Amino acid sequence: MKSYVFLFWGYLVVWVGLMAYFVVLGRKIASVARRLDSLEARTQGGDPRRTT
Amino acid sequence: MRRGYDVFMAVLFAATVALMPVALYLIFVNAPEEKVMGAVQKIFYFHVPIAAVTFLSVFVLLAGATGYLWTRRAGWDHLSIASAEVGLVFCTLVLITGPIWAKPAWGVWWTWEAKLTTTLILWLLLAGILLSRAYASAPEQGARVAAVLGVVAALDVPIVYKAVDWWRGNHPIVFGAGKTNPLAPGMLSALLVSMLVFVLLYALLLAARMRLAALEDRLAALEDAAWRSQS
Amino acid sequence: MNDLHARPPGFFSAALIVARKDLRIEGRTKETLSATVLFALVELVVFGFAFDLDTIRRMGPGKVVPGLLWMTLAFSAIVGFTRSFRLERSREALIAVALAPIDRGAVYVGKWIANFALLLMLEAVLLPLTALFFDVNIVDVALPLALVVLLHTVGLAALGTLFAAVVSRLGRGEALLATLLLPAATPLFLSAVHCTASVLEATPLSADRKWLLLALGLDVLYVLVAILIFDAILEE
Repeated sequence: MKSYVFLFWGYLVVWVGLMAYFVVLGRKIASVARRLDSLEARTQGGDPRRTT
Repeated sequence: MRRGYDVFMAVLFAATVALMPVALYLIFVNAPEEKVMGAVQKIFYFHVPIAAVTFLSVFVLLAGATGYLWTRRAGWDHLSIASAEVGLVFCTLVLITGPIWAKPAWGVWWTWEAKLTTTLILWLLLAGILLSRAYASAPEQGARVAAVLGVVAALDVPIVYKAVDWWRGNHPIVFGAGKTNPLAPGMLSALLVSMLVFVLLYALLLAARMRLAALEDRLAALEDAAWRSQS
Repeated sequence: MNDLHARPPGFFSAALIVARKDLRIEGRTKETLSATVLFALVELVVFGFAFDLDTIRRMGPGKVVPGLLWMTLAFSAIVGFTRSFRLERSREALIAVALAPIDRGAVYVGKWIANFALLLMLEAVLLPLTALFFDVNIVDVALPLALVVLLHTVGLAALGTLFAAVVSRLGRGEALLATLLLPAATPLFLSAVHCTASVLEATPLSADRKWLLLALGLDVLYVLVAILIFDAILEE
């Protein structure tokens, strides 16, 4: 039975790890895309403004 | 450009999601239990593919770094940083699943044998590359530094392996030169499918990370232009 | 404008010019060498406190002392390497060097030679002191020991100079250099410790042929790769 515990933890670590990285990446992409969109929208209408 | 990327990602994602239950079935239901180690041996079906992907990522890092040094085009740099970062994630997983397997199998959490030690060194090298990148004062400098370090690290890994192997070594030989430990047929298919799933996952994460790098570059360029035209 | 005397120097003469310049600066101030040697001394003393000396003596000369020696060498070398590039950084001279009409690879070779010379001087002090502090006989094995140390010092200087150049652009100093250099230098370090242990235990060097060949191969590889990519490092 003890060997199943190790198996479970191994499996869990792998999936949690990969999912966590995937989620982090997704959120970063979303935030950068958002900033890009807002910046592009702003520079569309008139003088380019500085983003704060 | 954007559309092609989205389609590509969707296909990759679908393929991965489709293959995953297949792999899981093969691993947990189909593959026979190993005589000596019992169920825990099944970590092998994760550990080995993840390790393989880690070394694949080093190869890709070498390609990206060399490509960047040769052409100075940003695309190669994106490949390089993406592979370094994704590689680091997979490398971390190898270093975690390794001891989780080692403890029930050999009785110790850690041993300084060739494969584990080389993976640890690789982890340090990759972390060093990412750290140096963060310290760079300009993105172009960061890209150059990372490329140089990437080339050195990638070339170093096989040498480190050989050296540590000479120094000591007793990783379980699953498919060695002498077929002394042949895999049962159920095991091979489980391993191969699992390998495919993880390679697809690597490709997925690599593409995502590359996209992030490209977006960040564009954002930086736009912010730079906006700032400059203000002054 | 085709004055023969105005022709830029060839690769090796350029390298020697760079090496001579660095060593001359060092000869005047002795800044780097003193800092490096002093640091090495402090390290040795700390090691003397950190380990049980009786046990070391009983275990034999090849067990702890080689590792201790090369650790001290590695960290002192790092102190030295960092300074060798700081030399130029503070005086904007790096730009001047980079703009000079010589192959960037020659700049690397010159700095490598200078760093190698500095390390040799460090070792001249460090080896006898280590033998003294840890009660190890180096006189009987002086020749093979010298060979091993020389062979690995070449590699240490080669790899260290390369990494030091990279780190100096980032301006972060010894800690980053150590973090980057030491994992990459693993094979060289393993070989150095192993061969030194062999020598101190009076085993003939022929038994370690594969390690010595590895070290030699590494020396060549490091220098060649560094020459090829040094261009990318010196760019501003």
